[in-house]
Amino acid sequence: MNGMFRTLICGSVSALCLIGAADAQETRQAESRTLADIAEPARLAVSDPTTIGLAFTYFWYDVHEAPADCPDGWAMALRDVAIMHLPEERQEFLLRPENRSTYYRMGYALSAQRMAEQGGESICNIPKSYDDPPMRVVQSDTAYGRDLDGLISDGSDAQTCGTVDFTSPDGTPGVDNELYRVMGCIDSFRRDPEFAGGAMEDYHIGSYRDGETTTVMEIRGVDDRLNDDEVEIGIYASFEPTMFDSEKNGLPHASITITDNRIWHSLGTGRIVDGELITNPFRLRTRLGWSGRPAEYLIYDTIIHLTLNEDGSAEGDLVGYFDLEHAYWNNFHDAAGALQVANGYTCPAVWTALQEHADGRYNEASGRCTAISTAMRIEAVPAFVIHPPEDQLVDYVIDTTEYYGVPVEQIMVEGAGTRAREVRSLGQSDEEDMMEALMEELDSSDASDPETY
Amino acid sequence: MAGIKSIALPIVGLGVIAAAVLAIPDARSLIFGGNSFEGEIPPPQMRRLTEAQYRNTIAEVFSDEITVVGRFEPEIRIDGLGAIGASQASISASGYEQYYGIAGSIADQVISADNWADYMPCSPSESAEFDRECASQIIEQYGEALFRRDLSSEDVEVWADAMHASMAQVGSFENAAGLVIEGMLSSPQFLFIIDRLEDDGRGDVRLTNHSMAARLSYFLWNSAPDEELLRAARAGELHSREGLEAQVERMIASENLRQGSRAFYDDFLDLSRFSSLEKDRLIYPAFNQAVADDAHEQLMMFLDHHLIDNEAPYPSIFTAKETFLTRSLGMIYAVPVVPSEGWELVRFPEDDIRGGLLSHAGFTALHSHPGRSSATLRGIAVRQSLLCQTVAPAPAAVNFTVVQDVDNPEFRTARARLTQHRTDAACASCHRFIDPIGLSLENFDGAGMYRIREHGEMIDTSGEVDGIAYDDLPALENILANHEAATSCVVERLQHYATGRSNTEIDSYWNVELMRGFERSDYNFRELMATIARSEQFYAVSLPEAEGGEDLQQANIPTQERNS
Repeated sequence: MNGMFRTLICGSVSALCLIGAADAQETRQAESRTLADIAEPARLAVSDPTTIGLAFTYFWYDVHEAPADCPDGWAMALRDVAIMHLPEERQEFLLRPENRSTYYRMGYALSAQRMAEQGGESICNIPKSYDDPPMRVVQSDTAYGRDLDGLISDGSDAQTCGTVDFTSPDGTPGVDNELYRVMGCIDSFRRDPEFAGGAMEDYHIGSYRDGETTTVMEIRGVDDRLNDDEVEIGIYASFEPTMFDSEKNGLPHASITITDNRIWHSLGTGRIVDGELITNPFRLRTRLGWSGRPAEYLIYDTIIHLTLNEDGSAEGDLVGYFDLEHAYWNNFHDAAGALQVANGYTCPAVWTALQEHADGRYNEASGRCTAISTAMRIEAVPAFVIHPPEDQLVDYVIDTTEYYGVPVEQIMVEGAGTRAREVRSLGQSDEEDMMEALMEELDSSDASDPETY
Repeated sequence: MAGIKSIALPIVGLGVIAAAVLAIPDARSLIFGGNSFEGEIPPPQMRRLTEAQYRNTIAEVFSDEITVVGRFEPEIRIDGLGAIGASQASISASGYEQYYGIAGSIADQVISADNWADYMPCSPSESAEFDRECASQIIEQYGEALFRRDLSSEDVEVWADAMHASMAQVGSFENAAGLVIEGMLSSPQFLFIIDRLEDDGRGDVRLTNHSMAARLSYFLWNSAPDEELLRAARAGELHSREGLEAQVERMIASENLRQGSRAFYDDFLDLSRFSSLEKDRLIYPAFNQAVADDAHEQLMMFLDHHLIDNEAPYPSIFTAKETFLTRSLGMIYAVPVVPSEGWELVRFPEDDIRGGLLSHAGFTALHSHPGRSSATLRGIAVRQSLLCQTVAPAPAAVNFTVVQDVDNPEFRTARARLTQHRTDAACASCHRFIDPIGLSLENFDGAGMYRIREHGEMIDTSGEVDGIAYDDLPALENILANHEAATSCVVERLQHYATGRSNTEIDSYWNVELMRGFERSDYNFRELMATIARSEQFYAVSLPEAEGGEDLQQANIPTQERNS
């Protein structure tokens, strides 16, 4: 047998092991296999009846939308900052639909100007460099989510850093979802704005559909799918795509090999009550790669509620405290500057808003909260989660020193190594190319002429 | 060609192909001498190359680096086999244009500056000068391989003269060589496997060594003779038992046997239909082209695994539990597949409905409609392909409304719909014969995915076949595995596939011998292939009795033109 396809038997909980990873880099390179290469004896073609495997087909914030959310209007994008000092009639002129391209170009020009001023550094790496107008945040008191801290905070709790809880649409008080408060007035994070509405959801869910992001879950030790006092759970990243049909519906029963990087294996426990999985709080760290960014979910005290359907699919929600910096990097960081133009936020404004609305993981020393509560919706189809052999597992973090402008030590996990960031998205390089072109255009223009600069 | 009393002379002219055989009356003899078997000896044949044979031949003669792009003449199936159709097929005018285009494309690749040294035995000293010696080497090398016969010095001279004459138009020796390759590939002598006869020295005729090599090679390897087989043919070894036995033994042991076995499975089970297999994406979203391709390949691998690699008894294909899966197929079978790429050998548990040939997605999806399963199509496939039984075509003006209306709440399962359909007396007799087998496969939907209910109602897979009642598919598979018709069918089909002809008198006697041997070998399919390849009957040929004497139309064509 070809040495590249060693048969390895491992004793993982799922009882399924990867036969022959091509190498530790998790490439998807096709290997031609002849009959002689195929391992014998045959593997029993059954799935473990005590394991439920799922592939996420939808994983995005539970965004409640109501007219009262943003009475002052949507949050300002860089394009809005670019024109806010113009005379009112000029602003009105630029905001007309037929002038939208000029309006956007002014935003791009401002983005390029700021980067030029900072020597090419992304403004999102140095959000304190500019003093943009404060973020418009959600004013209403209704949001999806759950009570994470057992408090009904009215702004006076030091442990939640003075934040005010929401009430659930079903009337349940004490809902902790401050990330929604921050992002809830950004046009592209909602679906109802006429322009840009739904863009961020589409980016994120699109990354699942185009194979850039894959998240799978296993519920193990299931003796009874309706009621089981104790089950184990695992959430894993994978570099293999989730399968969708032409209608964008997830396809069931795909076999998906999880990453060999243990950093993106999040383990926990839970129970099943009347067909609903309820996890105990656990730390979730998994990768999300949309538009090429090296993003991660790092969510503390994660609790998942998942209704397990008879057909093997599942849907529910995930709540927890999103690490503040990861929440910023994951959702808002914009290496090239274009996102802040097309979407209703600027890095300086959103960075400040996140600090102000952080409500979890209170740090006694600093007197600040270091995480922000969130609520996400999950939809999943049945899948077979394939584990690499134990002896092939590794620990590494992606070196984002240059990308996010933070020392690697800040995100390092004890015992882990580092790996260089790989751009997997064509979109990202397009975006970077575009900004390079704008920078060149800006460099060649006359800085004393406000019409061209 | 010295000593040849009879020669098949195919002519292409305006898309018309004719075979002229100069008759020699009362010639009846066998390659090994003496009439050691009963029955009338069949006449020689011209078998049109199948697409797979064409591609394999190009890979064998040149290399698999040469791409073959083009549309081939559609397969004609006669008596359940394309192989029989190929021996009765011609080439249409438009089809010939396609072959001509393919030939040109292959020639361009072969003579390209990058490839010349790899494929050509020599190079001219000057590109603009005609080098007759080099030209002759090229013609001799490829003439023998592509025409599957030895070339006379006159043949070489004719081709060399034509090549020389073309240089004025095409400008270089290399381009002229390309014309030679293109001309050979466009010739009926290449496009048809032509039986060529010679005097056996006792007043009878026999296949030439080269024709024997071609028959043997296209049967066992579905490709042109390789260099060793051509060497044996040149040396005349195939007319001796020892020489033939040595080549059969070598070829049966070769990895190339899979090309031959797979070509047979394709023909036997009519798997060429995979190329046009379509499923409704809304009804079967998981079934895509990758699944169709894999399902086809899975059947090939499954049959090779059991019949060639493990040499398991043929009936075991109905009850086997081991097969191969890819990730795409894993989604149809709803089982995990460990390797991210390629195939995994898996074994279904003994109590699993999956495993045997009939439970493969390739079988159930192929014999279904785009949007629904079909107990009738599946039943017909089993009866006709696997049991060699005849099913009468549906009578005209049949009302299929009930069968096609799968959402009719009154008839929620295929069984209910077909039961209603059978109330039409015109349909009843055939459906009673066909449907029970197909209904036992109703646990697989139109894409081959397992289900236990249809429209909420439990699917009943019990039935009765040829007087034996059974409860479910595994029981039916056991019945089929022990059904005499199943083993006799594969023998008959392989025999017909090998010879490219329907039953003749000698085939009937030969079939009895083959069947006995098959039983003695514990239904060893590989051994059956070898037995046929060794059989005198496989090479038996006689001169046809031409009605009205010489074919005057052909006789009036100058000899050189007929040979060109």
